[in-house]
Amino acid sequence: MTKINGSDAMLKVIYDWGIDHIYGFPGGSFDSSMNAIYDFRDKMKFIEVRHEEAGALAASSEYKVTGKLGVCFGSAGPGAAHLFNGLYDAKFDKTPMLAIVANVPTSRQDIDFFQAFDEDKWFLDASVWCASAKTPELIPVLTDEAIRQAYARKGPAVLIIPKDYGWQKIEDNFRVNKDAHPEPNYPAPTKTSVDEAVKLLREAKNPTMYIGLGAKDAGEEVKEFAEKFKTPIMSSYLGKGIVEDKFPAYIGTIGRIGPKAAQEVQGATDLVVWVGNNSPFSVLWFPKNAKVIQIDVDPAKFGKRHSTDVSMLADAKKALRAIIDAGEERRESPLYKAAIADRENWDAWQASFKDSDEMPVRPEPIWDVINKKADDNAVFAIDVGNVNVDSCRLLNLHDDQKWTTSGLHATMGYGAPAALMAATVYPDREVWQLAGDGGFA
Amino acid sequence: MMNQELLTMARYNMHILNVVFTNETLGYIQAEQEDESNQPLSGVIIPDNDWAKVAEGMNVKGVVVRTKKEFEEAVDEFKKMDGPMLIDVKYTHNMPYSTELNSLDDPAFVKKYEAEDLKPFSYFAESMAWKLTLQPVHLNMKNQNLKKILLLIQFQVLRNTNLAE
Repeated sequence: MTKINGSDAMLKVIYDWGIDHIYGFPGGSFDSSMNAIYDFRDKMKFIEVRHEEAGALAASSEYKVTGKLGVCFGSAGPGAAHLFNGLYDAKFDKTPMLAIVANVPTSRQDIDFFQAFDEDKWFLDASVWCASAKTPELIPVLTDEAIRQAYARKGPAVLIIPKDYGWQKIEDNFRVNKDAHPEPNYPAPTKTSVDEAVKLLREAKNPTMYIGLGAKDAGEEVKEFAEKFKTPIMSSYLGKGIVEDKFPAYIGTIGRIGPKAAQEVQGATDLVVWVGNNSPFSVLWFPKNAKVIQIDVDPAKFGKRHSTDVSMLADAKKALRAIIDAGEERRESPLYKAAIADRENWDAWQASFKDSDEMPVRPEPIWDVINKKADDNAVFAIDVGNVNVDSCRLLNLHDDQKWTTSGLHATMGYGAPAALMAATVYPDREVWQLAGDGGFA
Repeated sequence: MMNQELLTMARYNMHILNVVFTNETLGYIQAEQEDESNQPLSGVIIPDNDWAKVAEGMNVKGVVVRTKKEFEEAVDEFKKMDGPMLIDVKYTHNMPYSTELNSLDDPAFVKKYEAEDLKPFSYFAESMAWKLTLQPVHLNMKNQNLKKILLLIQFQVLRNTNLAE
């Protein structure tokens, strides 16, 4: 049987999961793994960032844009501490990622050694799974475990590798069983819940939709639903782009960063079709007596942000399809017509400034250029701050454009790492980092 | 806060267009301090900086723009080149329209946001011959000044007299 270094076994598992690049910054405690990165130089691209936080944010942003887990690393002590912000970004945005953290050699642990600390305790809160290799032989086993757990628990996994274990020779006999992990297949809704939803939709005066990331793959169904039942569509900020911005019934994001119509319409609806949306600020929105049909795959979300009348524990696509098929077409409600007119008024108002020569330059002329010039498949890496307000209101997403930001954790500094992720993963696409001077600096 | 990554973009010759909107303030926090807590601005000002020069020092093509035309030309230049570029847009210092306050009945608010052409939702609702039932006012937002709260209540009472059914 061939033998390989513990750290080479780790990279082999990562590579066999279909991951061909890794973000990080070396330190002495990571020497054995840097040696493995050198050994794998023809298979895996090493993106050497200038700060471990950038590597962690890049890894977090990767799943958000591609649906595939990203990998980063940091060395013991400061390198590990620098990872935290990216790990929390992933944890808050329910994003699988893997962070490999070095520790000092086992012979130097627990004796106040240079850069040594109780890493497993540090990372317990920042991760959904965290373990330290107890033997060199466990390294490939735990690497595979970390990746599976990150995907299953939708968050960051942290794997701690003592430096000496990375050098030790172990049997090269671990095989990744990647294909044993199918795409999630969420249930169809029950007939009772579909019937109840149809009934509420029939009885409502002014029904609306409120979509979040849970509707990500159901854009077509959302649009068809809105067309059949004449529901204005509102979204969380992260739900922007599920339906193209120009779609007439999509009146935008509710709340401070969104446009005016969404903020107004939410207060006047009597039925909300609430799809895969857990926006924390939604506790402030919608009349308290409005009825809610909630569609989610996570039982813990029902009734969390607003009382719910029909709970559909189901796939968004399947649930919307079932209601579309079972329900009767509606005529345009007063709210629908007012919402569309309100949105048109807002769009015209924004557009009226697009050639403004006011100095310093207003947002509208600049975003007009971005909208006109950006490729149909551009990727936008958006930082945090007022740039979220401007992008939410002015960026006209369409076709195969993608975008990402730091959602719930909302950390400034997200733009640059996400941009270098996008350039790595999509070398043939145009990548834009959009950041304010606060977030960039 | 991660601008050092321009070095990474240059090192791997990544074709990334970095657009920095320079408004010399932490705008999101400024708006909060002004609109929500009505406090004196504290700690939000950022000194201006020549980000194009910083980029050039990190081997990234850098340009400062002040107008739509200059920005357009810079984007065109990016599209013709390889590798990364940074455009420092010297941007308005005005805050975006506050959809949170959304006080189109207040002339000062309208003037501040040049919102003369915007109409309130009630206008569209009424033009659809629909009398609006209103959302409950959230008085739990702390530090709203008294005048604003009174205005809102007055507005609410006025509107409630028009409730359908």
